[in-house]
Amino acid sequence: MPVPILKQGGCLIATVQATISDSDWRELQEGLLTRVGQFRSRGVIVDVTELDVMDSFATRTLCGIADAARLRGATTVLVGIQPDVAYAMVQLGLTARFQRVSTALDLEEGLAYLNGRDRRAEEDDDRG
Amino acid sequence: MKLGIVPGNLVERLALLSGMLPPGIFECWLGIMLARTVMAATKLDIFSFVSNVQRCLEPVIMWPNALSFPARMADRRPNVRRHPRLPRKRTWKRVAKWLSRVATSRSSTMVSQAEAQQAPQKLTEATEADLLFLIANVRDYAIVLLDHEGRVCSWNKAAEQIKGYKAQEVLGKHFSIFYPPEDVEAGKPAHELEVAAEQGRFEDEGWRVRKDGSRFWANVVVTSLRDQSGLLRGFGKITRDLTERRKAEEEARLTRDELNQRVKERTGELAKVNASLKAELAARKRAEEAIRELSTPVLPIRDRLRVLPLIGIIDSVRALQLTEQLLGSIRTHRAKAVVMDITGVVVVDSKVANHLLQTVEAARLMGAKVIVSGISSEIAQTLVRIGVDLSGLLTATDLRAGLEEAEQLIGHQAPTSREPAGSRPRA
Repeated sequence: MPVPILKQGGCLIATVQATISDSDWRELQEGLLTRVGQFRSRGVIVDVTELDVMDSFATRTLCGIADAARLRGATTVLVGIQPDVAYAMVQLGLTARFQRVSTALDLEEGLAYLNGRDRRAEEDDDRG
Repeated sequence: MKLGIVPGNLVERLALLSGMLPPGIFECWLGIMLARTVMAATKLDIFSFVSNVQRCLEPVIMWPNALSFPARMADRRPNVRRHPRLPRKRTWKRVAKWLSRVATSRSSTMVSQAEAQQAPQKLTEATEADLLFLIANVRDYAIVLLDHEGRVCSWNKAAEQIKGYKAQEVLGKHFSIFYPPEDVEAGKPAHELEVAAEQGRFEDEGWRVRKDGSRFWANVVVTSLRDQSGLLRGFGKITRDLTERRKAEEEARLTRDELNQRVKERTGELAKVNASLKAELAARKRAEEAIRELSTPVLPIRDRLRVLPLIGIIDSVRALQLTEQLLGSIRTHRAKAVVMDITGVVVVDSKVANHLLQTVEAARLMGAKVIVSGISSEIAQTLVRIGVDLSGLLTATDLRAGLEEAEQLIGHQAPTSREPAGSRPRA
């Protein structure tokens, strides 16, 4: 099942369903990167609230999305990790990769964070 | 020819002289004849006879042992010994076995002549007299012959026993005298005969009346008797008294009902006890839950700020509970910062310490910052000893410092990422 990608202002929001397969992850990566270029987005939010299981492939793909998006000028935020999933990931040691990925509690927080970043970037530009 | 014995029989004498018979034959023949006579006279079978002979002859044969009795007693040797010419015990046993086999296989011939003559003839075919004998003497079924109109023609012992009438009293009477008055009024006897005549038989269970007026529950079969040409000659009525069976059934039913009642009562009692036990268990569980919740409370301070004060000993159970509470609270109340105060915790073992660090990491993954305040020196050493990367861990001296730092963090809408220093917020 393809993951829906929505455009909200200067951000792309992708909501991942529970029944996502490996091929869907790859499609998501391609789709997000294409759209970042298409809509000139500054931020990408991947909402994993529905996800009960985060395996190493998913983790690797998300890191790939974050890195590639940054290369194309967008910041990635991972929102809505469930408590059990978060603890499982920490125990399995998957968070080592996540050093480079931003996280937020939910969609609201993620959008606030991105807008805050934009505002600070503007301030920097104004000042500098 | 060597003559070991002197034959007394003229015929044998001649035979021996002519060389036809071996010696000793006469003795054998004489013995057999004697044995037969004895068996006939005593009415013993051959097996008993032979064992008797053995028992009787034993002292005769063994008497020489008496002479050596004192010597044997002194010597303490075995007291008796079979004469070497006599057969061994096992041979006696084998003979006895063979004889008994023969006896059981041909029992008729083992009976002595006199007995055989007295035994009655075997029943190969029943004669009329035998059949009458059978019908007359059967005890459980009253077999009564009725003529084509239903009058009693024959009577038997069982009928006398069941119905109470003697043969002379009842012969020639109509069989409806055995029915209770209401059945007679309804025309039941006639109906029975009709059905039996049409269909060949009629079976029924119902009340019948004895001579003294008492009722009994009977199973009755009325069969129509037709001769070769199909003409109805009469009816055969076979009655069985089922009063006892009915009584037994009634009793069984009563017992069953009583048992059911008792079972129901008992079940009711048990259900009540069960319910009360369950209620007790539930209450206890609730109390435990309450205690558990109290032990790691996540308290709200401000809108997005929570405090988790820990006191006492943290074991692995409590640590797991702590994780659950913390992460659940972050999710439910959308906390951005949590101050975990461990001033009240003196020491933790390395497993629990690792667990706490993992909890902090997981909370970060969910987008909340955790500040650990009040780390004692022992715990600090334990944390260092674990060897995990502690650079990212936010700490404070005590609870107040921790709260101040947390407010600072929230106030500045600090990023929850762990990106390099380049993007740290400006104060």
